[in-house]
Parts: sequence; structure tokens; C-alpha cells
Amino acid sequence: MKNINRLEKFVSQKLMIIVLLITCSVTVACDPSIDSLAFDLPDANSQEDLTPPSALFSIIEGNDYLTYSFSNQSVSATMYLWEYGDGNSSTGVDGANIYSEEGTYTITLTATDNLGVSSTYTAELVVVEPEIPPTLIPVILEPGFDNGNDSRDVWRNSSLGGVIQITGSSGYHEGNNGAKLPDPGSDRIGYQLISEFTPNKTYSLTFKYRFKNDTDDNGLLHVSMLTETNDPADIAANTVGAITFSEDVAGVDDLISGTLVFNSGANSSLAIFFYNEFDESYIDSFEIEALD
Amino acid sequence: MKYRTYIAILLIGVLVTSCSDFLEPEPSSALTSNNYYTTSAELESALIGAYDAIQGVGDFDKDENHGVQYEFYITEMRSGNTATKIADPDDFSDAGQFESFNVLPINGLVGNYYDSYYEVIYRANVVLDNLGNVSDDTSSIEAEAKFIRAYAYFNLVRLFGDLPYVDHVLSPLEKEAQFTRVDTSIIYDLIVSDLITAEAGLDNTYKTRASKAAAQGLLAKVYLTLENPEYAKAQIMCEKIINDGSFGLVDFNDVFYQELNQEIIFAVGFNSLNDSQTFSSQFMNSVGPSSGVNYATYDLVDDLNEFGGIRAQYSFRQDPNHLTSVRYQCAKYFPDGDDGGTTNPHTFDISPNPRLAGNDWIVLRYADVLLMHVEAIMAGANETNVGAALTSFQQVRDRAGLTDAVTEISLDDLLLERRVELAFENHRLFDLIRLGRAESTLSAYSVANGFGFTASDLLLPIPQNEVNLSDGLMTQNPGY
Repeated sequence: MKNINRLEKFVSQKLMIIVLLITCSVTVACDPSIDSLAFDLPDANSQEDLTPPSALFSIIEGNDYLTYSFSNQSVSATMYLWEYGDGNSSTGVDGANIYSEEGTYTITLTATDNLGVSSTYTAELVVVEPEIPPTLIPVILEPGFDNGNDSRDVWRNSSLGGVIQITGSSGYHEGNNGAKLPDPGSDRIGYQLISEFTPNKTYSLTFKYRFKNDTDDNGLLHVSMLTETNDPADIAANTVGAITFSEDVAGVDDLISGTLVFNSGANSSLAIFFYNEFDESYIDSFEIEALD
Repeated sequence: MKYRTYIAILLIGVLVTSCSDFLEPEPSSALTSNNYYTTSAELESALIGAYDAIQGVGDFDKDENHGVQYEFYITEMRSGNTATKIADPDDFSDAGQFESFNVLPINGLVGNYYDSYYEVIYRANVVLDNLGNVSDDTSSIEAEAKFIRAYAYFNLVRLFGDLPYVDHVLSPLEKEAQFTRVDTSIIYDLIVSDLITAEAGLDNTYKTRASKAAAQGLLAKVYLTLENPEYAKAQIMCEKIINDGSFGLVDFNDVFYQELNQEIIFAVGFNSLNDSQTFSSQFMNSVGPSSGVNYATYDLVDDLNEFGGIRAQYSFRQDPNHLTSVRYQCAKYFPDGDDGGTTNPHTFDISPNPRLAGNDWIVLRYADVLLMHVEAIMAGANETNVGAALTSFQQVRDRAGLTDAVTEISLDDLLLERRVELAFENHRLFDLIRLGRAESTLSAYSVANGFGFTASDLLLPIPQNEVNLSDGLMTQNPGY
């Protein structure tokens, strides 16, 4: 019994001391006026923002010229504000906007991180209805052979054949002169590389031609468009479009109009190429126009 | 005592004399890269090694490079075309991250592909660096190595954006070159120049190795992909293949099951017995280590059913083993022992090991070239009615049994045709990006399925491993 009393006394003393200690320490620790804590400011040990946000985006044109989407390429940001320059805005990660009319708009992206640090990036967008570029019309030099023998040089390609002759015979040309492909055997050709074509457009090459009944055979006149070549063996493979006129169909009485319609394909330059077979032929007044 | 001394002297003598030759051996069995490449045959063996790197290792070891076998994860499964068999929004496994556009920089499959394709580039560079050590004419070997390097870079640059520019074998000290990312335009300059060399120096001997037509087809695609596309040059390249006459369309099912057929321009070859690939088994239900990946999304199946013509039945089939929901598998690359799904539950009764598969991976085929031809002629417009484009487009549709005459092709028609023609062939993601429809299409798909697509998901993260090794030299892509 005595022992138990002593134990109770001992325990209660100890408890009292512990309670006192705790009270003291709590009181002391919470007192901000204590000198040892004077410099321990609330954010003294916090890290500075080592990865501040950096805003960036790219612009992607949509299905038509008024519709755009904006690809967010910002780093270290969590919140975004998009201002599209036409009064519209949004807060998603990626932006999208449909403009109501043409104009120049300034798009601003404000990227903010969770510490409230923000970065802005602006870009200008010119909204304009794209013009359909006109189809290019290549230039034909000496199309009417009207400068006499000087006209021949641009039509010359010695690798493919002899040069054309120039005629002044009445009824066989327009203007001053025309091109003459004399009786077969002399293997004369006309060749001129012309540019610029717009690729994959349909063009029409028009000209005047006439046969002369010099031989008993049925004369043929071939007119074609070729990709550039200096090798007779490549002519068939390089042909983009071709037409052949026949003396028995065309007759020999007048200059008549011929037309070759062709597609430029993947080419920006093509050659006009013509030659005759079996009888004398004439050709003159080349013109080219786009049909698209 | 006496004897011991003699023995000791003798031993010392033996030791001293016997060592002289052993310690300076002439290496007769070991070859090093410094002295190996002296003949064109040896260079050619190095070329085969580069193809081997494209193939990758046909197992599932995460420490091995798996090359093209893992490509479907990072392309097709990120395009809205395919997904894991059972979509799980909480699936943070590597394979599950792609379909929901939640790829993490630590994704092992992304890292594996990056490593694999830089290994391809390294092996091609080994060949190119040693051309000068061989006295024979090495122009065709150079052309082939450059094709391989361009092929690898073209895939990497489209997936990761700016990349380290590695055009020679790096020494250990060239850390800058290894980790400094350069602008995509510089990478594309190298790709174009390599492919022009390849096109000039190759012929059409092979289909599972580089060829002239493969270089032309790849070059056409590169021209169409450039920031400022070269449409006329792309058209010329396509027309070179079309006019060559060696290639044509075959029966749609035969494209995939008659190897090296007339339609194939470039494929990565596999053999089921000694060079098996793993993707075929992964596409099946629990045949590979996964329960099934690269399953068709309903979105793709709907398009195939509505617009695919006869291609639908040869492109996918309903999974006959999965009975709790309706899921569709890729039907273009069934592994060995697959019976076509006529039995249910599914059995593999032809071969005891359906994990084996020798199906080649088709990189480039003629139908792709015909559709690129249309794209080149369209030249950035929203539609075309040029005859040459209609002809190419019509050929692809005729083969699919869709013989109604096409009179005008819109950009969306073209994109849809490419989707149903080339489903499961890792084209869809690149097509969407190249034709400017990735953001709109994938956003809509993502919203419909509750995924988190943002435009920055169009580029993969640079593997975290590379960023860590670079000591701060390597920057991460935005959004990761």
C-alpha cells in the first residue's frame, strides 16, 4: 500500500513536470517575438521559380481561310488565355477561332503557371481569301515566222533534224512569212522549248497549216508537245500531246486552222515539235492559251 | 635443398622464356571496325547489318531494339485508327498511353523506337565512313546506305521534330552532336540529298532492299511533307514509278499474303522460322505477351465498312475469341497457324506456334504512290479534277470494287481513301499531319472518346533517358 502511494506520487510528479515542459515549449515556440526566430521569414526556404512559363504557339490553317487552330507549344505553364484579336478568347490548352472577315489580327497567348508567373507570346495573322493564281501562259518566240530567215533560229534543234525553211509564197502563210517543210528526204523539223507552264493545266495550241500536192503520196503533218529532249530516240517517251493532219482529209487548197489540246502535267516547260512526212507542208501563226 | 634450388631456377627460366610470345599475339580471330572494311563484300555485309537494325529483334525483351516491329504503337495507335483490345482510361502501361494521347517521356516503346532508328543511322554511317577504304566502285553501296539513313531520319523527324544531326560515326567525345537538336529543315536537307543520291545510284533489283523506285517513292513523300511542299517534284517522282511499268495493283488480299508481289516497292523482310517478327502475334488475342494491341477502333471500322469496298473484309475481322464485347482485329498480317478466324473459339491448328510470323512489313506499295500522285497534282488546293489525278485515284478504287467514275477529288476524299486503303500500315498519323487535318480530326476523335488530345501530342516526347544523359543539352518537346 505504501509502495503504491509512493508510486502514485512519483507518477503524478513526473506527469506534472511533463505537462509544464510541454506548456513552456509550446508557449516559447509560438512566440514570434523570440529573437532566434526573427529571420525565419515565411518563404525564406522556398525555392525560386526555376522553370518560369514560356509561351509559344503555332498557327494552323483549317479547312477554309477563315478557320484557324492554334497549337500550344508553351512550356512550364498550366493555365492559358487565348485572345484572338477579333474580341474572341478562350482558355483551353489549344486555341481555335473562326474569323468573320478578312483582316490582320494579333493573337496573344498568356501562359501562367501555378505560382502566378506568366509569359505572353503574340503573333500576327493575316486572314485573306487566297487568290487562285492565274494559269501561266508561256511565250512563243517567232510564232508567225515573220522575220524571214532570222525567224528560224529559235525553232532550230540540229540533234533532232534539219532546220525549217521560210516561205513567202502567197497563200501558204499569214503575215510576212511562214514555215515550210519541204518534200520528204530533207528531214526538217521545228522545235522550240517554251515556258512557264502552270503544271497540270489544260492548254490549247492553235496554228495554221497547209499541204502542197508535190508527191503522189498522202502527206502527213505531225505537231506535238514534248518534254525537253535532244535525242530522237526519246521523242515518243517524252510526248505529252500530239496530233497528226493528213493531206487527204485537209486538202491542199487553203491554210486551215489546227488545234492541239494537251495537259502540261508535272512540267513547267515543254517544247513545240513539228515535222512532216510524204509531202510538202506549211505551218504558221502559233498561239497558245489556257483552257482551265 | 640442392634439388629445390635447381627446380626453382628451372621454373623461373621456363616462366621467363615462355611468356614472350603469348603476350603479344597477332589478332587473327578478332576484327575491329578500323581494319575490317577493305572490300565491297565486307561493306555489303555492313549494309545487311543496317537492314537488320530496321528489322529489330523478334522477341519482347525490353533491352533489345525492336526496330520497325514496334512502329505501330507510335504511329497507328496514335492516329485514331487502332487501340488496345480493351480500352482502359486508367491504363498507364506503355501500350495504353498512345490511344488516349497521354504518352509519357519515360514510355519504353517510344524510347525503343528512337534507339532503334538511331542504331539504323549509326550502321548506315559505318558504311558511309568506310567507303574510302575500299578501292572498288562503291557508288551503289553509297546509294543504298544513304537510302537507309534517309528512311530512318524521315520516320524520326516526323515523330520527334528537331533531332540530333548525325551524319558520321560519332566518337565518344562528340557529345554536342549526340544531344543537340537541330531544326527539322536541316534534317530534311540531309534526307533529300541522301535520297537524290540513292535514286541516281540504285536499280530495281530488290524489294526488301533499297531500290530506285523505293528512293523515288520515298522522295515523293518527303517532297509532299516538307514545310514548303515541292508538289511538281513529287509528281515527277510518282510518274517515274508509274511509267516504269514494273509495278501495278494486285488482288487486295494478295498484297499482304503473296510476298514481294507486283505492288510492293519496299518492304522489310521477315521469315517465320529463323527471322520471325512479333507484331503479327501482338495483333492477335493474347498470343503475344499483351492481351491484344492495334485493334481497330469503331471509327476505322465504320469508315472501312462504308467506304472501303472489298477492302473491308480483307482489312479487319471480328475477334473470335473475345466474347464480352465486339472488337475488331487487323487482318492484314495474320501470324503462322492462324486459320482466318473460321473457328470460334479461335484455334491455331496449322502451326504449333502462332507467335511465329514471317509477314514482311510493307513500307511502300504502288497504291500509296498512286494516291501520292493525286496529292501532288492537287498541290495544296482543296480539290482537283485533273485527268491524271482522276486516273490514278480511279485505279485504286477500281481494285477495291468501287468502279463508279470519279469526276472530282477533294482533299477529304483523298484522306479517306488513304485511310481505308492503307489502314494498319502506319500511314494515317503522317497523312493527317501532312494534309493539315490532324488537329481537327484528332480533336474530334479525342472529344468523342474522352481522351486528352492537344496539338502538342502530334510530336512524341524525346525519351527521358536521352534528356537525362545529355546533361541539359537536350530539350524536351512542348507539352511533356
